[in-house]
Amino acid sequence: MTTRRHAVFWWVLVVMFLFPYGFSLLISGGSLRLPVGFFELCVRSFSQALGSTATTLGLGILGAAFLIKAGQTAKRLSFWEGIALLPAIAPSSAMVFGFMDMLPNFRGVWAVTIAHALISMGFVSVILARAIRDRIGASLELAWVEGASRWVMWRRAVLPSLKSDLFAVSVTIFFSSLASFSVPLLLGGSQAVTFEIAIHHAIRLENAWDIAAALSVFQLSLLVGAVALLRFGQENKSVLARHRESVSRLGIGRVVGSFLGFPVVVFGSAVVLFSLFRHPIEGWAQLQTSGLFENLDALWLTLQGGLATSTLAGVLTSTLLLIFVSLYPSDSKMRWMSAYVAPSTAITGFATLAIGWGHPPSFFWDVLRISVGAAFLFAPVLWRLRWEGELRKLNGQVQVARTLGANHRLICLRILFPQLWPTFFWSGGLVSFWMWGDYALGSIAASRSMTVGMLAKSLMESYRLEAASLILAFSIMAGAISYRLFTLGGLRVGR
Amino acid sequence: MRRPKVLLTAGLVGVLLGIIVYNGRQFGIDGLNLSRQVPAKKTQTLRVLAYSSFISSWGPGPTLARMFEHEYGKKFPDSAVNVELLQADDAGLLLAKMKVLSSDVVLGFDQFSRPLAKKSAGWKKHQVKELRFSDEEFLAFDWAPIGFVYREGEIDPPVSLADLLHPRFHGKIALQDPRSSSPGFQFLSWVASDMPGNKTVEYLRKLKSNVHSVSGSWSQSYGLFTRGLASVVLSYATSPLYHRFTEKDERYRFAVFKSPHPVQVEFAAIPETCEQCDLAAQFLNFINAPPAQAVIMNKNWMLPVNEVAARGTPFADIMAALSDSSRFGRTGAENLFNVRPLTVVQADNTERDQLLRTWQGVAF
Repeated sequence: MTTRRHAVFWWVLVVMFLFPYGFSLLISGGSLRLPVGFFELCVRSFSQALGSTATTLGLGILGAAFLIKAGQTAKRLSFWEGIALLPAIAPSSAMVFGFMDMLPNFRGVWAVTIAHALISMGFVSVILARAIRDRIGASLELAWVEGASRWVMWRRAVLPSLKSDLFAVSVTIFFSSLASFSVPLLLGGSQAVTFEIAIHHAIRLENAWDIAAALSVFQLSLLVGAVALLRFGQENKSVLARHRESVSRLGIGRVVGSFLGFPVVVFGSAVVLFSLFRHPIEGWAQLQTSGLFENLDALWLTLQGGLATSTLAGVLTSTLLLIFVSLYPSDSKMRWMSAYVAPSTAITGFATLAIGWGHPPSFFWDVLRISVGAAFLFAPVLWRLRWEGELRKLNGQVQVARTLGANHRLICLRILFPQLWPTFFWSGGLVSFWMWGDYALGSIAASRSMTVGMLAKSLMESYRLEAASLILAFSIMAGAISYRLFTLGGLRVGR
Repeated sequence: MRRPKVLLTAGLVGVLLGIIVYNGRQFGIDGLNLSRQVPAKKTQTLRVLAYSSFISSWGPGPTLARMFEHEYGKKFPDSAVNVELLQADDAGLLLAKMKVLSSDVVLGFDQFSRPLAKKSAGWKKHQVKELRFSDEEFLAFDWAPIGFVYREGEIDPPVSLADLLHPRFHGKIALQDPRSSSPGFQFLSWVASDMPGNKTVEYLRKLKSNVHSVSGSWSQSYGLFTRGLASVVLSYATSPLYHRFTEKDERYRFAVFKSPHPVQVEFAAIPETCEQCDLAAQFLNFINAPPAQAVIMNKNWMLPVNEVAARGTPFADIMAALSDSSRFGRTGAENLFNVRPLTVVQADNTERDQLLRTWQGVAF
């Protein structure tokens, strides 16, 4: 592929990613208006997000120590990673309801911070544990043999080598905390303000697209700031990578592992499971009286919608990242991608309504809209979490191949794609898992109720919370199966 | 390596295409030009945009659609109508979504979004006359007083706003955030009108210790209540009927206050951009007739605007309780029910902002 064609593709991607921002400007007719109390909004949102990020990171490191200690065999590792990941993929309302059940009088900014930490810390633990095993597992074992103490190894080896990972994870947690909606509203009360709440308020209550657009533009400027900041993150170029030899490093469990992180890994999942399965009999009774089983066409449509959106969203997100990778992005382009965050779910959802504009509503367009919206939202997250690290690992091979005269097609087919297939399927699986429980994006982008998450939300709005909990539990199981199928595909293709 | 890759990709694509083509047959895929089999009769499509729980399987939407199609078929045997229900998530998104989804009827505005809707879009006049709460463009189709629901035997019910400050409610009241929930704003506006000026802030500050939680939506708040985490919840006067009829649970009660309750009214309207405007007008006529009103009442758990539909049902008892003149000491058309007149329970943007700032000033 020529440099010119690369540039064209690159700009197509940039325009695509900036489209949700542009869409809000288009609807507002180009006018921008900051909401009343904008300064207060920034102060409160940022302080809450910073608090959530710091707490999540702290607890995530502790959880990583437990995963290293407990995950000594592949089976055990999968089990504990599954437990750790559950809160991050379950709907946030399940976590909040369980949290309120267990700590009925705990409210305010600290409650918001801890709930955010409960949701994300397991996810962070998994990522950090993998990074420690893959990157410095061997050195740690050597240091242990030489007699280094656990504290010295954490301080001198583990934390410094994780600097860029911690930075990437921090950016993800920080932006997801800024975009949080249910958690701050339920646990933070009237003082809780986030950008998502402000955008929600502007669009839903005031139909004030100029405010939504102004907040989006502000987010865009944050993005530019983050790009500049990420220069700092590039000092250490070793970022997250796929683990291949993780389980073989039995020794590092003794070296840096600790059972102290057990509650971090288990507590979040316990809260979610407690919340989802608290009243299964009532849930079943509510489902039966809802008339859902009498209208099997609607139920069938929901299941198909769930399957189609979760599969297509996974494939589209991974394909988008694969296209980006195949353009050999320069350092600055990689930084751009690392800093990119889609605007609020609401704005992204609305932007996808431009797809199929003028066509009557149909299943096809609904599935496509939801999937494209999911790709916008998840591609940057997955890029930061894994793709960037993978690409940097392959950069050396690509450079050598280019020096030896290999053309673009050959490099993609022989170097990039074969080594990126597992990452492709892993990302697809994760997005597919998330999309089974989605309702925020689907309810805006789709013209009818067609995903399992939307079904659960609709049940909740009709007095049937326990039925909604059962449906959400089903969506988690369906998501897990979907993820497994994707990753099995990755293993098969990667062989 | 190549074969499994091809097989897997083909499998995935096959499953997706299968689902899409199947649905194309079932529901029509205009994007792929695979439309549903054309029936012999001339078929018109009426697009109705509504909030998601209205058009869900258990909501009134699908039944109303079938009834309207059937009634139309009887009236005009040579032609047929297909009612397509489109979802807009919640009522707050109706205006935003109707910009991008063309529809003939929009259903679900409340008294707060109605002024905004009037300002930001053009609406056709409907032909239905003399119904409570309606104006010439926005037709009310259901309503319910708002107040507090409790479980009998669990707590002594509140009898007034002032009573909510009593220590027996310590940490037991579930409210909704007025920034994101219509009933939540109703409560704030109720407090502000009954206790104007500084008294609003004073009241909210005192209420703080009795509040269990402030949720983003009515459904979350009601979920906390049904799970027993809160003992009293801000909800609709009709909420206990759901538990009574669907769950056979008689414990749920609505606390009728002596001072007037705010009301939540839902409206339907025909946008000026409608394609099937005549059909839309017929649909509005239809949803206000007693049979359709009964469906809305029983599936949406709200009071009918056409009272004939409620006769002989427990919904009529609620209306009777709220219009008990001996209890509230007033009669006459304006205050037939113990509810605040609609003119009071709507607010423009400035009033709304001011109230919301007051709310945010009191840290719940």
